[in-house]
Amino acid sequence: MIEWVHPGLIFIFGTFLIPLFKGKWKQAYLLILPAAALIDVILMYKGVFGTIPYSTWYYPFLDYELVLGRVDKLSLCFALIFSLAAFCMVLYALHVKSSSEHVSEFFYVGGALGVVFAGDLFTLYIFWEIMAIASMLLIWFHGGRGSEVAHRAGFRYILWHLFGGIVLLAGIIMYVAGTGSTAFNAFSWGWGSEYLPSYLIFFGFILNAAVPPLHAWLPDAYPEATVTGAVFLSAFTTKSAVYVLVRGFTGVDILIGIGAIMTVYPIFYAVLENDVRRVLAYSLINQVGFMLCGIGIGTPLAICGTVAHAFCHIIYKGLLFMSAGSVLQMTGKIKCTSLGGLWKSMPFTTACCMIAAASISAFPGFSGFISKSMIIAEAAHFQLGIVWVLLLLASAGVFHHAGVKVPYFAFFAKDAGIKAKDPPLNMKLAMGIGAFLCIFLGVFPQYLYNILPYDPVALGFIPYTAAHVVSQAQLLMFASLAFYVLIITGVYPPEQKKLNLDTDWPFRIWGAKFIIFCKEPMMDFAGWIDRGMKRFASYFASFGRNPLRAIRIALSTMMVKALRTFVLEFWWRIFKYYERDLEEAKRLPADKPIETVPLGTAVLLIIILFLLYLVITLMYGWLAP
Amino acid sequence: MANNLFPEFLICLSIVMDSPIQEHIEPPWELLAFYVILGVVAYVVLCFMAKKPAPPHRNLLIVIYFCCLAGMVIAGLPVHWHIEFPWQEPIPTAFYAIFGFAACVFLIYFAKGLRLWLPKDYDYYEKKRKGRE
Repeated sequence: MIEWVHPGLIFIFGTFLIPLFKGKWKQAYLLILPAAALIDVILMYKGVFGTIPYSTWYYPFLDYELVLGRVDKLSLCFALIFSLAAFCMVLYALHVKSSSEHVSEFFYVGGALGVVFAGDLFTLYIFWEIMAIASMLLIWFHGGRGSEVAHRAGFRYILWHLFGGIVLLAGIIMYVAGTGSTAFNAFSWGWGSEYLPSYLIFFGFILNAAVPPLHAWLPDAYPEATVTGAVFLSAFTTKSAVYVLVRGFTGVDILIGIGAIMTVYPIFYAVLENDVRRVLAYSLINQVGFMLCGIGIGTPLAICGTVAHAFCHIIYKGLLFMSAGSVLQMTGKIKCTSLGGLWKSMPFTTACCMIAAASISAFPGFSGFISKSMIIAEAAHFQLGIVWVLLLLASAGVFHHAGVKVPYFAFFAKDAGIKAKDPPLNMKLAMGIGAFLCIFLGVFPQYLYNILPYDPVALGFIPYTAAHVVSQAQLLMFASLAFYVLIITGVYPPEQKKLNLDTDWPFRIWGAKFIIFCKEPMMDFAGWIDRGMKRFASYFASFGRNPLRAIRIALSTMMVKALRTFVLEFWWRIFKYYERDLEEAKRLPADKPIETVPLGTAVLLIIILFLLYLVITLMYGWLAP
Repeated sequence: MANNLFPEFLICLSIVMDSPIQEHIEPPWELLAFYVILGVVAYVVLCFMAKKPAPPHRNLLIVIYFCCLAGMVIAGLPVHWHIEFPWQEPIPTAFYAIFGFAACVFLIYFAKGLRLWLPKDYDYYEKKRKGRE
C-alpha cells in the first residue's frame, strides 16, 4: 500500500522551488507539479490508497483534530476537475516569465484542493483564506496601463472576501462551541435562532458562490485580472463554494429560489456589458445559479447534475476566458466596440471560442448539454413551474450573450481591421485540450457519469433522447432567430462605452462617504480629544514642577473664563483682579518650586507611610481570620 | 532492475491504463456529422464573403439558417413529448421554439429598459471620489 499524498500540498509546497528554476527547466517543473497532482487524484480513484470513502492525514490541533484528507466520490470528482483544469491553465500560462505570478497561481489551486479534501471546519477555513489571498494577488499582478484600476478592484475583492471569511469563522466558532464537533458534514437547517451558526456559515459560502446581491466582486474584479490570472479565477473560487454547499447544505429549499434568481439576474447585465471578459464573468454567475438550484433540489439526480455541471463548466468557462485572454494578449483590446472580424486572422481561437460557446449554451453534442439538462429535468420532475421557466429563460439568455454575443462581436460583426495572429503554441495547446474535452464529454457522457457520486443512468436519466435533443435545439435556434431579427430591425441595443451600475453601488458610494466621514469630522474630533489630553498632561507637568503656580493659574483661568461669559458692571472689578492675578502667576518661574523639601524629610515621609502600611496589614491580619 | 526500483509506479500505471467504462450510452454520431458539415459549409461561405462581399453568398447562409429552423420544428413532429406543465399542452411540438424566441425578445427589451438607468461613464466612481475630496 502506498502512502496517501495530499494533491493540494503538492501545489503549495512545490511553489517554493519555482523561483529557483529558469527557462525551459522552469516550464518543465511548472508542468510536472499539476501532472503529479492529477496522477495522484487518478490513483485515488483507482483505490490505490484504500477503499473509497476513507479519511486520512489526521493531525491534533488544540483539543481538536485536523482532517486533511477526506476522500469520497464527491471530493474526488471536484479534485479531478480542479487538477485537470490546473494542468490546462498552467500550460496556458507557461509563457509568463514572472515567478511571483506562478507562485500565487499554485497557492490558489492548492487552496482550492485543500478545501475539497478538508474533513473538518478549521482545515476548511485555513485553505479558504489561502485561496482568497492568492486570488487577490492574481488581480494585483495586472501591470501596465490598467494596473491602478486593477489595484483598486483587488482591494475591493479582498474586502468582500475577508468579510465573508470573518462571517464564516464566526459561524464555525459558534458551531464548534455549540456541538463540540469540528467535523465538516451536512449542517442542520431550519428557521429559528438556534440555527444561527448554520446561517453564518451559509452566508460565508454563498458570498464565495457570488449570489446576488453579494456577487458584485466577481464582475468587478475578474475582468481586471491578468490574462492568465482571469483563467484561473474563473475556475476555483466559485466552484469550491459549490462543493462546500453540496457538502453542507444539500436540499436546503432556499437555494432553489436563490439559484433561479441567480441564473436570470446577470443575463440582463451581460446584454448591456461592453467588456468581453465582464460578459463572461456575468455568465459565470448565471451558470453557478444552475448548480445552486440543483443543490437546493437535493435529490441524487440533481446533485449529479450539479457536480457534472461544475465539471463541464470549469472546462468551457476556462476555454472562454482563454480565448478572450488570447484576444486581449494579441490585440490589446477587449471591448466589444473596438473588436470585430478577427476570424480571418485568429482562426484557431475563433474555433475554440465557438466550441466553448456551443458548450455553455448546451447545444446537443457538447458538454453543457449532458449536465445542465439533468438539473432542468429534475426541476420539471418536482413540478417547480416558476423555477423551470426561469431556468429555461436563463438557458436562452446564456445562449444569447455567451453563445452568440461574445463570438459575434469579437470574431465576426464588422471588420475592425485589427492586425493580429493566433497566440503562442502553449496557449493554443491548452485551448485545444479544453476544446477536445468539451466535445469528448458531450459525445461520451458515460465517462463523466461514471465518476459522479451517483449514477444518473441508473436513476433514469438518458441525455440523448429525441425529446431532449429537439427541445434544446429548438430553444437555442429560435433564440438565435430573435437575435438575428432584432439586429436586422435595429432594435438590438448597440454596444456603449459605459460602465453599468451593480449592487456594489451603495458600498462604493456610501463606503466612500463613510471613509470621508472618518477622515474629516472623526479626525477633527479625535484631534480635539488629543489636544485636550495634551493640555491635561502639560498641566500635570507644570503642577509637578511648581504646584502653587499651577493651582493659581488654574484657579484664575477658571474664574476669568467664568466671569467673562457675562461681563456685568458689578463683578467687573473681580474679573480684572483675576486677570491681573493670572498674568502675575504666569510671570512666576515655572520650574523653581517656592519651597524645596530636603531629602531627609522625604525619606522620613516615606518611612511613615511604610509604617502605616505595616500597621494596617497587621491589623487586617489579626482581624480577618 | 526497474521492476525492483519502481514496482509501485508500475502498478499505478497499469491501473490508470484500464478503461473505466461500464455501461454504454450511444454517442450522437449523426449530430456530430451534422455539426461538422455545417461548420465546413459556414467556413467556406464566410471565406467567399471575405473575398467578395456579394449578396448571393450571404443569402445562401441565410437560406441554410432558415432551413435549420424549419427542420427543428419538423423534427419535433414525430417526437413523443413528455408534457410536464399545463402551459406545454396546446403546442408541445413548437413550445420550446416559441419560448426561446419570446424569452430572447423579452430579455433584450428588458435590458433596453435597464439601459435608461444603469449605464454611467467609465470614470463615474473616480469623479464621485474626486468631487468629495
